[in-house]
Parts: sequence; structure tokens; C-alpha cells
Amino acid sequence: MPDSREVVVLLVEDSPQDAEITIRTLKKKNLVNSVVHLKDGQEALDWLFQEGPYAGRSGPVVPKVILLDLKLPKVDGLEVLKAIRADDRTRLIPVVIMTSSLEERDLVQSYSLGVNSYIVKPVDFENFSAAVAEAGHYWLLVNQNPLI
Amino acid sequence: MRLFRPLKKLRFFKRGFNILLFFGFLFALTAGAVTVFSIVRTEKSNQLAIGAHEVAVRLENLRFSLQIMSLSYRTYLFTQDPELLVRFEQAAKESRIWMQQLESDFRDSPLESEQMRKLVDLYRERMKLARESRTTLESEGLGALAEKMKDTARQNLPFLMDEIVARLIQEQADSVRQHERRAKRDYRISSTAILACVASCLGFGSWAVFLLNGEVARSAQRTLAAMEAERLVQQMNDQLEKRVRERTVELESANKELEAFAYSVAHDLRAPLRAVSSYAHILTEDYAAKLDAEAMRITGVITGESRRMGVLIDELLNFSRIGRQQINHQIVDMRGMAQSVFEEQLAVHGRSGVGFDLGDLPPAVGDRILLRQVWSNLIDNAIKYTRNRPEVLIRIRGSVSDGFLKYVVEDNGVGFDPRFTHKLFGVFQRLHTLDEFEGTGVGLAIVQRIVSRHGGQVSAEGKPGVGAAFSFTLPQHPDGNPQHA
Repeated sequence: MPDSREVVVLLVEDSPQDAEITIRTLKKKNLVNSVVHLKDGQEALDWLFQEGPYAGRSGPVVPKVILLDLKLPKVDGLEVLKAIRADDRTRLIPVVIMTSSLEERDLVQSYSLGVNSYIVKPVDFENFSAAVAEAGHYWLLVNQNPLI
Repeated sequence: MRLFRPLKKLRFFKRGFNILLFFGFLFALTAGAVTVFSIVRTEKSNQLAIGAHEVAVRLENLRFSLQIMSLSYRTYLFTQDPELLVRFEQAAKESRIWMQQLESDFRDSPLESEQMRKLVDLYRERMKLARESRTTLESEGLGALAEKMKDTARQNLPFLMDEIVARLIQEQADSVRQHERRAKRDYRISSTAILACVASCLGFGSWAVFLLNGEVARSAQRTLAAMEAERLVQQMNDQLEKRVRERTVELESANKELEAFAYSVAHDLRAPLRAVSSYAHILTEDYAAKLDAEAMRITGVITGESRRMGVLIDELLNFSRIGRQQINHQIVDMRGMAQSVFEEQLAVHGRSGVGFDLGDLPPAVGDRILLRQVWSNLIDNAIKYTRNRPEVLIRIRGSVSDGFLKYVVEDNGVGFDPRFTHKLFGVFQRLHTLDEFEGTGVGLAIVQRIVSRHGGQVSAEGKPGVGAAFSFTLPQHPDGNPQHA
């Protein structure tokens, strides 16, 4: 488990392929040395709030950015976002939605709930990895977070 | 015909009704006439009875006067009281008056007139005897008179006169009774006639009212039946409309379901496709040293084709989204939009030296983003299909007619075979191979969809090797579309 000084990206993604390509891109571009990959919304909430199987995990680790898919098993992305924004421990963490959905409804709801960025995953590898690299570069290097 | 028959029936019914009513009226009239006639006759009989009664009274008076006359005279003869003589003269005068009256009363009845004449003769003889007996009494005395009267007394004139008068009285009484009987009979007749008249009037009247009522009721029934029929038709119409609405809703929901299905299929295809594309890429990145030229070519095909499939899926999603998207109506400066889209597309295609002739375009009312998509797709096509031409000219024109705005994008590119015009606007329909011109075959389908959602139509004209002209119309909005100068 990473300690609190590490730059951590929390990736909540149910597709192992998308997760693998995302992690591969981030690492290849040397943007991050630690990615925590969780496969559903409930697991993400448990990890963030150190509950359930993650109760008493080493930490408190606050990720520098959360990459969140919308279509997730158990608890979907919008509900996870809502829970993150509702809790003082997590409400300032930047959240980037990465999804296949271009639905206006999803966009509006995400921004209403206070998302920091909304990225539609391109279909082909080149565009997709470019989008991941850009987002990673911006949120991990360019952007300044408040100290939490 | 169905309407005519009851009318005919009604006319027949009315004729029968009128005949019956006429007879009823005739009967009532007859009864009325009989009534009037018998009332007149009753009146006449009554008058006659009254007349006969008056005559009888006068006869009684005459009889009384004659008796007074006879009595006072005989008493005078014995007493020679002059007072009695005066009484005699008075009674004689009265009798004369009564007899004169009665003579006029009996003027028209010969039998009674005859009796009266006899009576008057007897009266005269009686008066003559009275005068003679007075003279005898005054000159010769009572004894001579008594001797003389032996002969005359045998004649007994007063008795004869009284007999006549009494007979006449009896006759008058009979006449009165007879007239009264007639009057009574006529009265009965007139009462019966009145009753018949009233009864017939009441009877026919109420019968007519009853029939009229029936007619009214029947006509009311017919009206009610008509109203009921109308109500039924209305009900059926309502049901039909309701059914149409239900079917429309069902169709709309089925359509939406289909679109949602297409959307979710297209959407769900993206993730595995991304995996195919990505892993092929990873293969070329991580294992380039181990792959020979042919293997590299093959992985290149895989990534290339998956990219093309990605574009197809995205276009399909785009197409599907346009069908479901809400249209925001705004006034759109079509000329400015066409100009900016042309410049943008020129940059996208990296082209220059393209002749562009943009006419005056009337402004439209529609969704800014969707209409920009229309211009974008049409101008993109025009630039794409003029790629191999030495001199390129793209002309855009606009016009207004019959409440519609028309816009035409014309090029002098490769054109198309007019036999396939109907295929142009179908999804994934292409008239050129990918080797000639790249594309997915969704662009014109999107154009058609956007235009039809705005209430307009698309059309195309083309000649192979000469060029193509694509046009679309939009409904002219009364407020938003001022007449194009």
C-alpha cells in the first residue's frame, strides 16, 4: 500500500482493458508512480472512507485525482461522485469522469454534482491514450490542488 | 331513399288524419245546426204557447164580461136600478173590446174566426133584445115584458155565447198544452244536439290532440334517435381517435425503444473496439522487434479498421442522437453560417484555390447547432468530391417560395449517377468506393434527418463527371423569416 507522500491516482473502472491501457499510458508518460485501480463504486467508497474490507488500511491516503467511470457495478459513478462531494474528507479531491457516454443528461448531472472534468473515451487507441495522457498531465502536473 | 319513405308515410298519415278530422268537423257542425234549429223551434213553440195562453186569458175576460153583462141586465129588469144599467153598458163595451181583440187574434185561423163571427152575431142579437126589452119595460111594464120574454128566453142567448167562449177557451188550453209539449220535445232535441256537439268537439278535439301528441312524440323520438345516432358516431370517432393516439404513442415508444437499443448497441460496441485497437497498438509498440513486416502490416490493418469502425459507430451515435435531440428554434443567419462553415471545412481538408460563390441566403428559424451540421456535411461533400478537379467552383444559393426557404449547394465535382439518387440519403449508403473517396455514408442521412425534423425536405441532382447539387428546404416562419430581398 502506498504511503501518504506518494502521488496517487485512484482509477475506478470496471473494464480491465480500459484500466490496463489507462495505467499503461499514465506510467509510460511518467506521470504517476502509483495507481489504485478499483472495479466498482462500492469498493471505491470503501477505500476512500476506509470502510468494509479497507477498514484500517494504511493511510490516510488522499488521491491527487480520481478518474471515475460512470457505468459501474453496484454503485454507479454519479452516486460515487455524490458521496465524495458530500464528505468533508473527500469533497476537495479533483474528480475526472472518463466515460463512453455522451448523453447530455449524464453531462449535466455530473457537472451539477461538482465534477472537475468530463472526458468521453475515444474509440481508437491513439486518441484514447492521448486523452488519458493529457488529462493526467494536466491534473497531476499543471493543476495545483489545495493541501488536504 | 331511407329518408324519403317515412316522409311518404307521414304524408299518407296526414291525409287520413285530415279526412277523419273533416268528418268530425262535419258531425259537430250538423249537431250545432240541429241545436240552433231546435232551439229556434223551442222558442217558437214557447211563443205560440204564450200566445195561446194570452188568447185564453182574453177569452176568460170576455166570458167574465159577458156574464157580468147578462147578470147586471137581468137584475136591472127586475130592480130597474139605473146603476145596473150602467154596469150592463160597461160590461157590454168591455165585451166588445175583447171580441175585437180576439177577432184579430183569430185572424189566421178560419175555424176560430167562424166561431168568433157566430159569437159576434149572437152578441148583436143579444144587444138588440136588450134594447127591445128595455123599450117594452119602459112603455108597457114588467108584465108585458115577461110575456114577451117567454119566447126570447127560450133562445137563451147568454148560454149559447158562453158555450162558444168556453169551447174556444178549451181549444186554446189544448193548443197551449200542445205547444208546450212541442217546446219540451224541441228542448230535449236541442239539449241532445248540444251534448252531441260538445261531445263530438271534445272527442275529435282530444283525438286530434292525441294524434298530434303521438306525432309530436314520434318526431321527438325521431329527433332522439338522430341524436343517439350522432352520439354513437361521435363516440366511435372518439374511440377511433383514442385508438389512433394510443397507436401513435405505442409507435413513438417503440421507435424510441429501437433508437435507444441502437444507441446502446453502438455505445457498448465502443469498449471492446477500443480494446481491439489498443491491444493491436500495444503489440506494435512492445513487440515490434519480434514481428516481421507482414505481421506489422496485419496489425496495421487491425488498428486501421478498428479506427474506421470507431468512426462508423460515432457517426451512428451522432445520427441516433439527432433523432432524439430537442430542437431549439432560433433565428439563424444562414449566409454567415455557410461562409464560416466553408472556411472551416477548407481548413479541415487542407485545400486552397476553391472558387466559392455565395449568394444572398434568407435567414431561417431552426436549431443553430443542427443547421450548422447540415451546412458542414453538405460543404464537406462539395469540397471532398471536387478534389480531383483542376478548377473548382462551389455555388450556394437561397430562395423563398410557397412558404418555404430553399438552399442549394452546387459543385462541379465528380457528380453521381441519377439512377441512385434515392440511395443517397440512406444510412451507410455510398456511391463511391473507399479507394476513391473516404466516408461512412452517414453524412447525407444526418442532413436528411435534421431537415425533416425541421419540417423541410432534401433533394439531389447530379450528373457523373459534371457535378452535383444538393438542396434542402425549411418552412418559412412568419415572424422569423422576413421576405428575402
